[in-house]
Amino acid sequence: MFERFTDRARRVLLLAQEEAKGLGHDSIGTEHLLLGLAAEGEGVAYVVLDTLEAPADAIRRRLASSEEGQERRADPAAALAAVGIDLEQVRREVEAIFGEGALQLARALPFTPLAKKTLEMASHQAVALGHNYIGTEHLLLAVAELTDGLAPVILAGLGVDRTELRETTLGVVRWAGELAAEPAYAELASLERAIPTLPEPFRVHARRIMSEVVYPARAQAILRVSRLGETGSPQAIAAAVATVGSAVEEAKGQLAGAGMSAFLDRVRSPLVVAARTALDRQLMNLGGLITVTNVPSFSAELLGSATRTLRAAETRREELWDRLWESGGDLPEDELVLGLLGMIAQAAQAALSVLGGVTRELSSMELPAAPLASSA
Amino acid sequence: MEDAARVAGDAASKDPATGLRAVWALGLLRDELERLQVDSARDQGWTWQQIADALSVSRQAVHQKHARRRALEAKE
Repeated sequence: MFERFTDRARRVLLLAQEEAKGLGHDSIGTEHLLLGLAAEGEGVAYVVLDTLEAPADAIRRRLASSEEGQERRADPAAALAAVGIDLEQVRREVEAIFGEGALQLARALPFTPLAKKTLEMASHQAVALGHNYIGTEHLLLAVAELTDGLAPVILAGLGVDRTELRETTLGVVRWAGELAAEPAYAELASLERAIPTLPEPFRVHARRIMSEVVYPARAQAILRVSRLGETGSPQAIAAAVATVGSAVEEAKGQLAGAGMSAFLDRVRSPLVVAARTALDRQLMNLGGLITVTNVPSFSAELLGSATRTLRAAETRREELWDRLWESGGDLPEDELVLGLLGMIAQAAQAALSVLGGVTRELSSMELPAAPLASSA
Repeated sequence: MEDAARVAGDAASKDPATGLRAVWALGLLRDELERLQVDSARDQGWTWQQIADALSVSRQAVHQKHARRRALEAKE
């Protein structure tokens, strides 16, 4: 169900999960979705909630002190103690064998029915806006529609009006679209595409620079422009956009200071960008095959081979970036491009072999003779 | 642990809320231990049939529960 979710929207769901766990709750409710949206720190929803003065900290505080929150508390250690089991002792024994952190009760918390419905509503919001993806803005619009659950209670407590929430979100969405064509934004987008290629510690560093320097400036600019709206003078709009341009320059300066500029120049050269994009598409195809084979009708072996293939390709790609990084951005461009093309070929071949398996298993399945007739 | 001692005392009160919560937590613990042990057995070369026998369930049941998960974790 999450295929159409943007990376940021997926991160919101992960954050909602972590926040629910952090609060010691036993499921993910609308309040955790709201908290995830505010804590995400980059997307449209974050911009809107930050502006309407509903930041993650404030939501978290309300949640921790609300009575409804207490009812959701899940404390397995106390519950087990009631039947004479010392969870800490079990943990010590298990971790002695399987390693630290091996025992995790409630690995993935379930969504509450209302939270699930909210995710569906987000999909409807996307359709209504003519978008083919589900982003944080659609999740926030869905949350704004809610009348039940804890999210509306928390929003009301923070003095956020539902209509205002909806209108602000729509305004930011519209202007974010208009601004995307600005050169400063194109530069920002190009930086954002390069960051995932950075080796691990530097990626974290680069993300921090972006969220400290660039995203606040962008949030401010989008907001100012969306408030100026159609009545704003072109000069005022241009001035707001210019602040994003200087923030991007500032971030590039800091990245260069950290020794990233040679590396970034290389991964952003047109030929390398083309090869990277092609590889990304190929890996997305493999991701699609995982979705296809993760249907119980297909064997786990097929699913396993699709997953292993994708993981292996991702590892090879990481290794190439690591090599580029270690060379100080000095790997010859043709070596880089050839390396990427080799990975594309390997991934394509692997995808074909998984597809072959899919075809084989499909042909051996007993499909109902007239599947459409029964649904009529 | 004072908390735990208090709750342990509650067990004798036959309060369904306490008892049911304990059953819930036992379920979580049981599932997690099964996950760890099945992974460890597979990694040591056990067949699904051997694992199923040890758990006293059918091979299909254990395969259905764990094979797909392990495949998604790229462990199979």
